[in-house]
Amino acid sequence: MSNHAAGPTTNDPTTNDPTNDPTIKALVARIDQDADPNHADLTPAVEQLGELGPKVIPYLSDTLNAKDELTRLHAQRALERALERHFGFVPGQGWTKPDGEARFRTLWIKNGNYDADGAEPAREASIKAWLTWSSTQRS
Amino acid sequence: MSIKESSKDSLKAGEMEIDMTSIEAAKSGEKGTIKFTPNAKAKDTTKLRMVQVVRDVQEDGTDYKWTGSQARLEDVKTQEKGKAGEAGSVDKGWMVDHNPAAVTPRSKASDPAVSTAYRDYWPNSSVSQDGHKNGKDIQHCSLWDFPGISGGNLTWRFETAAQGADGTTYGTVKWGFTVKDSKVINESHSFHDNPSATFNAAVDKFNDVYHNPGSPSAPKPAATPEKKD
Repeated sequence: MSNHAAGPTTNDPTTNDPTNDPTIKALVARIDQDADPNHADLTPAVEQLGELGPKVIPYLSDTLNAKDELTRLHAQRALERALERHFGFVPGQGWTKPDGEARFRTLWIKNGNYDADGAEPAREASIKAWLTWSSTQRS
Repeated sequence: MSIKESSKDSLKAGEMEIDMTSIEAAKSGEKGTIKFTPNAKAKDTTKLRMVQVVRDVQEDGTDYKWTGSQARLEDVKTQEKGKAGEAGSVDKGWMVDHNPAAVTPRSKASDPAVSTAYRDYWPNSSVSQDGHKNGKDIQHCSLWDFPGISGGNLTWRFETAAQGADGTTYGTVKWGFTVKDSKVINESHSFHDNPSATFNAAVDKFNDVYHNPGSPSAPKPAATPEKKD
């Protein structure tokens, strides 16, 4: 039995590294695997990262700026899923807070309107904005 | 090639637009949006949303088999009914496009209905939205999709419908394509006012599998004990 497999998904409070969770790292490493043929933008890891909420954002910075466009799209979807949950989205039921989607859109645009197909400078600026926002969520 | 077309004035209740771009790369498929804008004559509705049904056909003509977290998709597929091509006949293998890993069938009458709406699973809020119509206040509805595959051949057939809060259909588009040897071929589409019998059968099957209100398998409300004097 592996201790790592059952390990906590929270950051180690003894370090300042916001990306030291092995479970989240493993999900990011699998972000392109086993895509659904009906939804090529989605993989099991994308959905699982989304379920963990905004704490996954620091782990996504490299994949949001990956060379491969499909990897960037998977990372975008993971970021979106994490934020959707944050604002009250429940899969199968939709937005459970009346202003949830409006708040999602406002924040998405404020943080650079990230687009996996967009130009690299725009992506980099958006990633920086998300990392800044994420750091405020942890404190 | 791509699928880019508007229904223009051909639908009674509004304009359906399909804007799918073919991708031929490591992952080949079609990526883009489908949009419906109700016109002034359309029935008012507080919510206008896309419901999509899909069939995935393998190169040998058999339906794609879903396993693992997606295995319940096998349960919601339609069964063939009637003679193919005849009015009211139902084609086999069609299912409501949803994520079965995210939902479970209802077990009691107080459980919320399991949604058929595409965006209740994949809102893609930066590129799609729900709509409404209240007199002159009109907002279109849309969905974003990217069916595609790498290292295999597959045919996708879709029927995407704009539906109001009461289940009224405002318009549909049937569309599809094949990926063969990483190339996108056989793209097609057509616009319709009403959903097909197959679409309706797929929605009925979904509602039955999830025991949704109004379906034959819906849980009955608990009986209220009789008052005793």
